[in-house]
Amino acid sequence: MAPPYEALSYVWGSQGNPEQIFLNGHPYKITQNLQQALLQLRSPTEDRATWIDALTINQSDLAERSVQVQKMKIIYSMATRVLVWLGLGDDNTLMAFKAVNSVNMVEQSSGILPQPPGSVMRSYLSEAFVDLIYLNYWDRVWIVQEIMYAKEAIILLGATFRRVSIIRSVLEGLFEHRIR
Amino acid sequence: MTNGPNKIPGPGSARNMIYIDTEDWLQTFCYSKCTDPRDKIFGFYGCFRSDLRSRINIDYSKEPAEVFRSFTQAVIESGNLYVICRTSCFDNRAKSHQNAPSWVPNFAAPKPHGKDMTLFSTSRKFSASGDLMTFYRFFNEGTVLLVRGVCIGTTQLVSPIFQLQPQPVRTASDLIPIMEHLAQCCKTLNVLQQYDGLAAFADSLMPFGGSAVLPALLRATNLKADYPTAGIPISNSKNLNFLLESMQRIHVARAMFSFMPVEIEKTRDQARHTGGYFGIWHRRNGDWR
Repeated sequence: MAPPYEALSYVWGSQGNPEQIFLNGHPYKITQNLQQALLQLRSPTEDRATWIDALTINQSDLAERSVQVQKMKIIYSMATRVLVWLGLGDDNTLMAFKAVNSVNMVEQSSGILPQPPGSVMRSYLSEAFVDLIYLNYWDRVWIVQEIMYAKEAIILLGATFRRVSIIRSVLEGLFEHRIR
Repeated sequence: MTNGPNKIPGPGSARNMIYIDTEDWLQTFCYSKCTDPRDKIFGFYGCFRSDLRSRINIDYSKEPAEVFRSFTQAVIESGNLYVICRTSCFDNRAKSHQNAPSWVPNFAAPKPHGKDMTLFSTSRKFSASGDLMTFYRFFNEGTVLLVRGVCIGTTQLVSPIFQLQPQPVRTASDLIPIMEHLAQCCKTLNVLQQYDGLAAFADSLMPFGGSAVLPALLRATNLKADYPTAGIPISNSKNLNFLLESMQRIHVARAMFSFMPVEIEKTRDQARHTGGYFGIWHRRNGDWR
């Protein structure tokens, strides 16, 4: 039995200005996006077991890659949870995240306290959420499987986090009248 | 954007046996981004239903063209011919795809501007073949595909491709380039020869939403400035959305052509016009029904 671990779901991101980490004592280059995720996730006091594809699969070994890709669904379904790293966030996306915290907002977007389509509240939030769903992450092939198999999926944006399921329900509420 | 958190199956859906069907994969997920074209298939391995999964052999020593070929065969064997009926996938110019048989779609081709066109399908709203069984055979180690069907016609002419970059349509004047393109298409394809002049052509489009578009087109291009404004004046911006929607809907069964260069984005209250094309399929015999 493998010890409990979390699995990271992220975009590799731009290769510019790579950062260096030590992997089993050897220097290894990673992208800024992954480095930021690692900095955010690490605990100063405790070990944290996290499965990260770029660090665990030798991409240039075709046979290893073939085997690992087949196991991907098991790796993500066995993880205690899947951590979706969306990057550090900006004013708009962070605002969308903050808004999700307000119970009021969830209820309004889910139609319990309906807001008319053109309302200020609604368009203000729609903008913020549009930025959130336009992030590169959502266009990546792998993430679909990574989320589909998760026991629990948490979206991280900088130092804040929300469940994927709550973001989904807010989006459905907000865009119900437009997204078919 | 192709996915978004609300478009992909939620956490745990695989546990509840909710998978991605190949139609959805072709329509949206196939356009997701990856560095290695083979990952368009291998990266979704776990998302497919088990009967399809069991026919996929993840092997990175195979060339992309072969991965696409064997996947296409797997989809045909596990379902229907939908997979070979998407026009956008037949961008065979890519070097990596030149060794693939002609019936194998290039799944790495970029998402087309405007609407993609599905020629036939045995599922969803289009079901030309009803419940008929798909007839197919593979020969020569799966490189030759034989299918049986009815030839309903041949594409004889294809219009110039709409070259403009997608841009927002905010005012009526933003529509002029689209109108000019439509007029150019009509000329290239000799659509007008079948009708008694532009006015008769415009009349034939009425039931399909052309009533709003054609007068605007005619005025925009000065082809016939005095055509009666049967439709809605485009100078009134309130009518813009109606006009855009009408343009999306033009689809004339008689000559079977479509013109769909306008897209209203679902997430932003803004329309954009995108590239599009316009083609005519000449019927071989009998009438379209």
